[in-house]
Amino acid sequence: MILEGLRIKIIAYGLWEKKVTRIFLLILIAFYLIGFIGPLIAPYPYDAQDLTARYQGPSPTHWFGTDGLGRDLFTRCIYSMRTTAIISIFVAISGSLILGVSLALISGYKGGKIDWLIMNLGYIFWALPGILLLMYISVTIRPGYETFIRDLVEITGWDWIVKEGIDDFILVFGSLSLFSWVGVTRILRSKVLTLRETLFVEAAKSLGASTFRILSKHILPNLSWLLTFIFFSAIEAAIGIEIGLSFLGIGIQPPHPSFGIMLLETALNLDLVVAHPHLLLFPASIVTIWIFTLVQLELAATKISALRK
Amino acid sequence: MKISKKTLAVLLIVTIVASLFGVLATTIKEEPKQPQPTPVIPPSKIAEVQELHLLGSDPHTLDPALAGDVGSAIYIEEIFSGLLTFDIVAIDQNGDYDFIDPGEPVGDYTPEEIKKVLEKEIPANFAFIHEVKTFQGKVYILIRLAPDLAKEVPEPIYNPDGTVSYIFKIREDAFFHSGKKVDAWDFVYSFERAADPKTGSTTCELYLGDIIGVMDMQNGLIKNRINKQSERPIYKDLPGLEVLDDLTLKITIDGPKPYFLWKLTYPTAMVVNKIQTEAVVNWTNRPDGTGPFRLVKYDFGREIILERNDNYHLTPPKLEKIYFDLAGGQALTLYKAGKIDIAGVGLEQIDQVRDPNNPLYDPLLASQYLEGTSMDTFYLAFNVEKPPFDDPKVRKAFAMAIDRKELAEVVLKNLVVPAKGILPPGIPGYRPDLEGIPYDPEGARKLLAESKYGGPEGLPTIVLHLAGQRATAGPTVERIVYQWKTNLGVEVEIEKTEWGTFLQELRHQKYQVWVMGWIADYPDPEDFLDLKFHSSRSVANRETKYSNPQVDKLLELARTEPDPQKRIKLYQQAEDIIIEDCPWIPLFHSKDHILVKPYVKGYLPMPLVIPIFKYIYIVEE
Repeated sequence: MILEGLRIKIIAYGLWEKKVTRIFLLILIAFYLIGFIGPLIAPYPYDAQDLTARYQGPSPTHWFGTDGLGRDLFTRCIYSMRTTAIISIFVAISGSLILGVSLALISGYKGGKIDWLIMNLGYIFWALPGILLLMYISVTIRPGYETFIRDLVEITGWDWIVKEGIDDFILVFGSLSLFSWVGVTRILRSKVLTLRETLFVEAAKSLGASTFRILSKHILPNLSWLLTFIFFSAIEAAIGIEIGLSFLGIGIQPPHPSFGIMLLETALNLDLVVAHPHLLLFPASIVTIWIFTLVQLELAATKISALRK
Repeated sequence: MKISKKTLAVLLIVTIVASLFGVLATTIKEEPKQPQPTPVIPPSKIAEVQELHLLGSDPHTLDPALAGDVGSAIYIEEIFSGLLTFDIVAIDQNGDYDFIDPGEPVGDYTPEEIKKVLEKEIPANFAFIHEVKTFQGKVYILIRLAPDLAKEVPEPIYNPDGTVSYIFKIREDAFFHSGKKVDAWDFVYSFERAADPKTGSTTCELYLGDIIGVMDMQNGLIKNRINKQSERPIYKDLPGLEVLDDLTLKITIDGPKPYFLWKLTYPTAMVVNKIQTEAVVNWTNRPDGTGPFRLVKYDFGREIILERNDNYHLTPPKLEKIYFDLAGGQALTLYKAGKIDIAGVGLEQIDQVRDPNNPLYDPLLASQYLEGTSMDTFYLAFNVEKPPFDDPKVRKAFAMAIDRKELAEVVLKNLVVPAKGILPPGIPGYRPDLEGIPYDPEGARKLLAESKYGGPEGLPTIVLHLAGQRATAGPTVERIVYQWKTNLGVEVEIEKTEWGTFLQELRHQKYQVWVMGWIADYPDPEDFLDLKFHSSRSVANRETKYSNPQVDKLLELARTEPDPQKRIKLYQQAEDIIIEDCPWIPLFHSKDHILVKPYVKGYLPMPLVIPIFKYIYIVEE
């Protein structure tokens, strides 16, 4: 039993050891790197229009071609990657994951009334249709929320919140985490229930370890393979949901570029896709590669983590 | 009438993720091409099944007193009717026009009248000619004011006190769908219901406000019979309405305003059944009207079915059923698959029907393509009381920074006509050679620096609002925002809101600047200038809060000016001042781009909302 840390080092080392996963890891790192330093390498501003160069195919000046307003698709893809990178990290370190894990630990370990309360609350939330409620929340809260953000920007001067479109996503994923923690909690809780009864937990208890110590040093590390799995699926889901929501019009707002909007603008017009396939091809391939890479890494990492228990 | 971008010419580009692949599959399936239609068609055989399938959208409301937008009016004008209506005539003698059967006129005209139209003789008043372009050539449609539930269009009676009365004889054979006979009392009830502030009609002041007493009732000075439970029982009928006998109604208006008769074609002036509206809570689910069609099914977000009213008092409609698919889908794809019979053509598809040199050009589709002008103006409007647009210099600078010619010709591929003034083509007083506010980025920057905000740095956050679903703002808005950024150095946020919420927020004065359209309700400049810019209008109709005493004076003079030439001049003067003050930036006047299946006859795109479905019939292929 390895009892300390979440074994990030071991997982990372394990992924690096194998050639196939190393390639996937490099691709993923490259994607996130491009996402974060995007504005430095993008050849044009993301909204620069050039009506003399509309609907151009790929060329040396425009690597991925241009869209209907003559905007460089390569630049728009880079900025969309930035959006996706920020969102996926944001989701991975906040919202459903932290909420879900901590509630699972409390619920599973403490048991009794707390367990009953958390899990039944969870089932109530689970019964509600998430995306639909998200739309309602988005439609009803958005006007007031946006006034609040505008006031906040005016007072603090943090105009990057609006410029990067972060405010849209705090709203969307903030409300999404209301519903999505239940799945995480359910899986982890059942595992915590088993671990609670093991001898090493009993031993720790008899030595006088505090609840916090038992949870963080004895139970959490034993959940690491599940956590790896959940972490990766959360990122994948975030990317997918971001695209889906932008597609439905409740995610990021134009002219901020996002894969959802780029796909929406073209995919709804079959005639446009036929005439200018590059408009769909490039953004769609990037998203596909990104998610495929994540899935591969998820499988490998979970395996490593589970084998080296 | 308000137009959202969504309802623009039924160009509903509505698909969701899941259905995308379904759509793909259906397009691949319909491989076999239909044979080319022969150039000369003999009069065709009427088909046995008279059903029409269309793509529609959910109406905002089906209550005629409340409707003020095109999306609602297209249904209401088929289900309800009023004293007067528009009727049309279009005839093609030579058979070179596919959309009309040769020798078979579209419309309710007598042979003598048709002869006159063919000789290009147009009655002077209350009629105008509309032009529709097709593959084969042009067709001219005469549109005129016509009696509906009234027996005839009445002549004005000038009273000694300056007021004007009209005496309407109501038809004996007019019935509601439920079978109840229509009488003058129904009209009195319907008008008073619309005028009652409890009904909450925003259109009443615009279309019935000329009737004596209506504005008093709107402002609560006259209580009406509906409010019997009210605390202070000063209830009284509208003094402007008088029932002479069961089938004779006298309407008195406050001055000689010939355009008033046009207003009686608007939904607000349509008759509702008192028994239903007073007794049934959700009566708009199955409204009881007097129109050519009745609503038999309304499934929210899915389907509207209209069925023929067999007791219709005018020429009975030929169609048995009209299906409106509200679930959405891409119009052209559905049209190609044969799911709908009439479809709008959008920006991305126009090359398929218009440009023979384009590789995507489809001659079959091109032969089914119709183009008609629409009497509307799409505009950007400012709330002139909200910073930074409380300074006219800022508004003008924003207007000067937009290149409308490029917008119409390049971005929108000539699908629209660039707008310089407020009046659209077709409205008397439209000036094609009007200068308007020029495109001048240099001057715009200078003007913005001169304003009280001192330049782009001094401006507060600006959010441009538009109505519609989903995230894409569309090329027009993205182009405008980009031009403001490059020409003025001002970054503007875009926010998109659902149409119903959009109207509500607009009424509550929440927006600084927004995109909207206004389509003519009747061909008179009053419909644009007086209704939208006179300072006596309520916020619901004058969203910009614009007021200018000089404009008010000109508009008031024009209302009762007997000389048509002088009247037009007055409106043009008012228009010039409004353009200079910039509460609106007129962007473009749209056109209808429509595909019609060859077996649908009698459909022609109309410049304004006219009950057109009663003229349509299906022929055998």
